[in-house]
Amino acid sequence: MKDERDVEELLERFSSRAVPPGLKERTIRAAGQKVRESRLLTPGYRWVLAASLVLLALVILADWRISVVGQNRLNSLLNLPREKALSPEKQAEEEAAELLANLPDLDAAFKNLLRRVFLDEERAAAQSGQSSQRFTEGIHEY
Amino acid sequence: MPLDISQLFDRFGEAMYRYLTVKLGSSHDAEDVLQEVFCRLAKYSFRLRFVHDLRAFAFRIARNEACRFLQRKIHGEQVIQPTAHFAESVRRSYAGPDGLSERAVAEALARIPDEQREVIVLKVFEGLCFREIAAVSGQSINTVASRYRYGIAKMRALMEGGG
Repeated sequence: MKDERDVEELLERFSSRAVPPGLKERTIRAAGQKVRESRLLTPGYRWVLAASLVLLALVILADWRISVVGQNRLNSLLNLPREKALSPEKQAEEEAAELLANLPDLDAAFKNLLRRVFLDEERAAAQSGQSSQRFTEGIHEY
Repeated sequence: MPLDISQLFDRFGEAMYRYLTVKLGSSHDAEDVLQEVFCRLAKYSFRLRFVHDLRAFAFRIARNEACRFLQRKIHGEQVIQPTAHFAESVRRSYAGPDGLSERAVAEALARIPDEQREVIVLKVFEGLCFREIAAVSGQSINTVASRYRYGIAKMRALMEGGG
């Protein structure tokens, strides 16, 4: 060899040999399988996912329960009607029954009149969006 | 249009297999690493659309996977292939004009440093330019060109029997 050029010329006369048969199929199959495996959830991750979902459900449930209890407590403190308020008819009936229990001698006509008055008040209160008790409190404040 | 894994193999698969065989000194290890390379290419399929030089990118992944494989071997205290295996790997991958020169070149290539052998294989046998080899190895073009020149000079000395 005279110089490096001779080595380069010799190297350039080399050619590539054929790769083993089936290399492409084996490589693609194995690579595809590895990619699929890496995309699937492993059993460990499945447990983590399930535990996270359960924890999330518990947190949502507890939050809803706490907010309902808090809202009811606030309503009772402010004397506001509860979320599930009674209908005006039922409210009037309850209030009238409570009052009439203390007035056993009242005749039937007065009892009916009292019930009607209570019912009118409750209906008026329901339409205005305020409780009849609150309205009474308003009067007392003045 | 995104390239699928089969098209990528048609373009670079065989060249990468030969390169890995010489780099690792074993065709069996080369096949294992090639599967890892294509697994990675399949995961990168979306990103490949934005790659400017796909050949350099593919060879870079092959080189990284080969280095990772060799590191695992070292940590696992497995024996690294001796020089004789590299010579055999070169002869299994590339055919010379005659048996004598083929053996001489393979033995000379096996005895030069890894980084010089890598540059010569990529430049002469796989047809990559210095810019692409620089991108593959993460070195500057000047470093790659120097390695090539030193490698050729060392090969010449070895083939002349100067060692």
